[in-house]
Amino acid sequence: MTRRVLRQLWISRSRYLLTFLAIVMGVAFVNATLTLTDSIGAGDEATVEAGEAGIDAVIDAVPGTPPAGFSGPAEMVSAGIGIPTSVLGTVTADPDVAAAQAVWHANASLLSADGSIIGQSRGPFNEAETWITDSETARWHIAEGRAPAKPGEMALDAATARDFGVVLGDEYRLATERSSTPLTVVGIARYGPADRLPSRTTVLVAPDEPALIGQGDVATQIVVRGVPGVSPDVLVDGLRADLAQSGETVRVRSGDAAAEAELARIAVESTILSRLLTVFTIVAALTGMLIITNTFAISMVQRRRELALMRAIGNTRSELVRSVLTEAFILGVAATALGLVLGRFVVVLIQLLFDRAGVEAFNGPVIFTAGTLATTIFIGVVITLLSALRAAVSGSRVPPAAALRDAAVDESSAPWWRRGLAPVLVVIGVAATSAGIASQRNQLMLAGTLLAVIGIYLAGPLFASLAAGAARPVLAVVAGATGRIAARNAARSPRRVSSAAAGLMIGIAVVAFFSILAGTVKTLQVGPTSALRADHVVTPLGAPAGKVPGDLTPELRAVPGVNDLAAIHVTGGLLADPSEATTATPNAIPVGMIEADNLDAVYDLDATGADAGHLEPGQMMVASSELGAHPVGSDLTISGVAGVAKGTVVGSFATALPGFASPKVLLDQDTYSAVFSDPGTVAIFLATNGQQATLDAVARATNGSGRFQTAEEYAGASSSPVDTILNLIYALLGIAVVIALVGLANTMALSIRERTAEIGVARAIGTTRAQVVSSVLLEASITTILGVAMGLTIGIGVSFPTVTLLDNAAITSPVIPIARLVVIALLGAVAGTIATIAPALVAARRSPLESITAL
Amino acid sequence: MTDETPSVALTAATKVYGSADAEVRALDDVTIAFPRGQFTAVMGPSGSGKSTLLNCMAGLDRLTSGTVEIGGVDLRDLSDRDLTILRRTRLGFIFQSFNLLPALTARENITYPLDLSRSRVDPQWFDELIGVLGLRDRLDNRPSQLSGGQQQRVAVARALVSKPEVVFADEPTGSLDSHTSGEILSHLRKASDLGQTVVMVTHDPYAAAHTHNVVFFQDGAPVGELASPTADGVLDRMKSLGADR
Repeated sequence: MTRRVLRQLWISRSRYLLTFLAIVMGVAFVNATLTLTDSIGAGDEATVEAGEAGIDAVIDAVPGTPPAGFSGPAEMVSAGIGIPTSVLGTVTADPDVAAAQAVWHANASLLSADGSIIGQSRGPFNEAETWITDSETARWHIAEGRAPAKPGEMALDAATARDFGVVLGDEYRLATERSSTPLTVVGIARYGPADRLPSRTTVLVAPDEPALIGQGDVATQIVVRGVPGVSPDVLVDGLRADLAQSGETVRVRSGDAAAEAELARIAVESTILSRLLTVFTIVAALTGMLIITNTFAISMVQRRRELALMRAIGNTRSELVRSVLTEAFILGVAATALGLVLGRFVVVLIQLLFDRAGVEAFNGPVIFTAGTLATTIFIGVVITLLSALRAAVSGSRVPPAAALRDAAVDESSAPWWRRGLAPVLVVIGVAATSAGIASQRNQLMLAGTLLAVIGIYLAGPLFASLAAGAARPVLAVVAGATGRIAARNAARSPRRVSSAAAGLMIGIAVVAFFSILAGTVKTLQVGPTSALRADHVVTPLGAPAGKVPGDLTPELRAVPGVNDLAAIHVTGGLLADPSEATTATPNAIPVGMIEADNLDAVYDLDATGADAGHLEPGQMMVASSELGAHPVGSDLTISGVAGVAKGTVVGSFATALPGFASPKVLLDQDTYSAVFSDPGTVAIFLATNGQQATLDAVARATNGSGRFQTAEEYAGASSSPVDTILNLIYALLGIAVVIALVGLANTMALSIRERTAEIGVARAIGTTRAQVVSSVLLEASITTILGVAMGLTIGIGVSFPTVTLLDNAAITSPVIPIARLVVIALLGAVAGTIATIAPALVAARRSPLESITAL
Repeated sequence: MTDETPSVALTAATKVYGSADAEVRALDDVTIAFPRGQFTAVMGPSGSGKSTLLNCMAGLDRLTSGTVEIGGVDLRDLSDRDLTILRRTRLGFIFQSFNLLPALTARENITYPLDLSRSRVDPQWFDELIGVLGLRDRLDNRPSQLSGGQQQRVAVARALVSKPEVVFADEPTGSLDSHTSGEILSHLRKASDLGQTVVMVTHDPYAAAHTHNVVFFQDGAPVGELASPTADGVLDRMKSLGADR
């Protein structure tokens, strides 16, 4: 039997070529995405373990519990809460401790004289840390020059120094949330065996650098090296006992545990990428399965005659099914093997792409796990077998005589349950999603979304019939008989049209969804640009960590020609009162303040109840999304690093403000300054008279402390991390879309094959080659447009519930980048049609006689 | 019938398949003309070259040497596109089976050749055709909803709708029962009596009996003719052809 099957495969190899290709591509893509997911950050682990090797124990704050008094660095929310340095005495008193040092750590940007950022272009995360003087404990080691020893000195990681041509003696400014400080490069450092911490730039400063340590009373962490011979566990237990005795609530962890946490912290980028890749793996698996199933279904319809003949001459149904399965198995195994090899090339290709984009997620070895192999084989062999089984069973069910008589074109429509179920699912799904959004029940919302998406997919054949029906009169007018036959052919096999469109649908849906999400996240960072009435904007140089110094605001206000301005302040606070000890974890929220005489002239906050620029002490405003929890008239307590503010809600605002997170509560100026001791602003909006002299004066005042832009420049300013990631997403999705297009071409090629005789007749009675080509392309365009339309519907639809998950004060609906979606739709439609040019040309090239006699 | 130019004329037509040792001369120096308004049957045993003859006359296949002229137009000079347009405008086709485009309705199938060049359908002629062929109630059905005889009548209507120079029929009744066959053939006969040239390839003496003239083919060349044939007369000639072999 196997010999017969092998011969059969060889004889009809051209027919199997497309099926084979479909499996190879599906397998390659799934294999590549899985391998990439496993390989992400694989090199980071070794690097961090080596870098943190000298540290036996780490002491820091228990997450979520603020130390008494809140006196310390302002990065309470963004960088974690510090611990009092007074703990250091207790730690060094332990006889097991050989060395201990307080370490400060903060998000910070290194700026050159012209304000450009050293490091940011190579990755989104830039940090500053104080130097650890004990060389056995130290994370960093000097490769060139010396360690920073006194305030004003710094060392830079070797990779950033190399990339930006930084040499000893160079002078830069370090922008943190607190200040902008000039520093001189005295050393170049390496982290463990690596030139840098993965994906980030690190500026190392002296242990007593005031720019980082502030008053020096609250540190980020204390690193401890034990006396040789004392095991880390013993050391940690001892320290815990010491600190508990002195009544300090701090966290003590072994160096290994801390290294693991450090890995998790620095692997944010890898984590985001690995989640994205998981999405792509699902997309890849779905697309691959669709293509394989589709191809088998079609090729089996073509073989109905052959199967019927075999039945007629005495083969049983089970024999037929078995022989088809054997073919599928051989095909699946061979294609999977090739797909595995090809997948490896895709991995290399994507690594290259990532590397060009400056993402260092793949600095380690390529990890190929047994799970990857198993999943790949599942897709390539098991799905192939299942697809073949399904096709073979339905193929063998045809009575021999009927199959010999009928034309070999699949004209089946969807089963009744599918036609009936699909609209029901869509209606229930959309209703559940809306109800979920309204009642803020996320699970209901997500379940509803899933139902609706499945419903839309199941309704594919229905949409295909409708689309073909709607296209007919249009195409008949545009392309006459050619157009009519294209629409009729599409209407003949709605199931096939919809499954061919499904691959494209998935691709377009994901592309559209990510575009919308990225657009929305961007507005979170710059604020809704439509609300901006100012003509110029000053933003921090070192965003997102940096701020514009507070003393710039009065300076700009004094510039003649500046008619109005608003300085926006945002920082992290806690929605609780630390003096009232409760068991509940206090909520960290973004808190803001606006300095403005006439806010309406520069920014449309859409406020009700009060003027945010003129709040009295004790008055607070909340984002309108918070009104449910904190209605007007209710009392609020906000804790900051320097104190506690109590007040009453007097109004609300509906427009988001710029900053990494839009504030949920606005305070008056005096209270804000007292509670947060943070004069820095995230943006200053200016309404000027527009004259050159005014702009020059503002530019002079801003030089060195902020970035001065027109409102248009500000609105168009894209935040590079979002864009970098988005471009990578597009690159990956591009591959998924290409595979979907190959599937589409595949489907068209197969359905043209089964219509060879028809095309022959059409040619014989006077259809020109050009007309055959255009009829095939028009038919494909119906499929393509259907796929694109369904994809856009799903992509846009899903973005609505997703945006509510973002849980941001003023963003309640997604920002839909219409121009971008139009481009995506057009590209999809054009690419889909182009993909079918090859099969169309093949169909047209055959001589009519050849086609008719092929019957 | 008064026109001097024949509808189809072949001069020294030769068609060779294969090469060297395996050479098959499907048409061997054939010179023949099919006069305007005549219903001609081309008959002969399998391999006699009758199908090749039809394909070459219809511009579906090219001659190795010699010429084919349709209404005075030499097919040799035509590009694939011009040949296609000639088939669309000046030829009609009826095949044995699988004549119609399954995606189109009967009406769309009939007007398809005209629609392709966006020519107007002569409504009077169309109405007359579907009336005579009894297709009036079936115009909006798709081929799969029609019987074999109805499908073949649609094919006849399509072949005649553009009033072509010549209609080529390749075993048009090959898959029909005798009653239905008779109907189709008498429709073709009626058309030719009204001036339509029809050339039909068949091996069925009863089908040939509907024609004005039968041309017998053997080994790639005509070997005789029979005017005003009867089924028995044709059968006798066929037997003698078989006996010659």
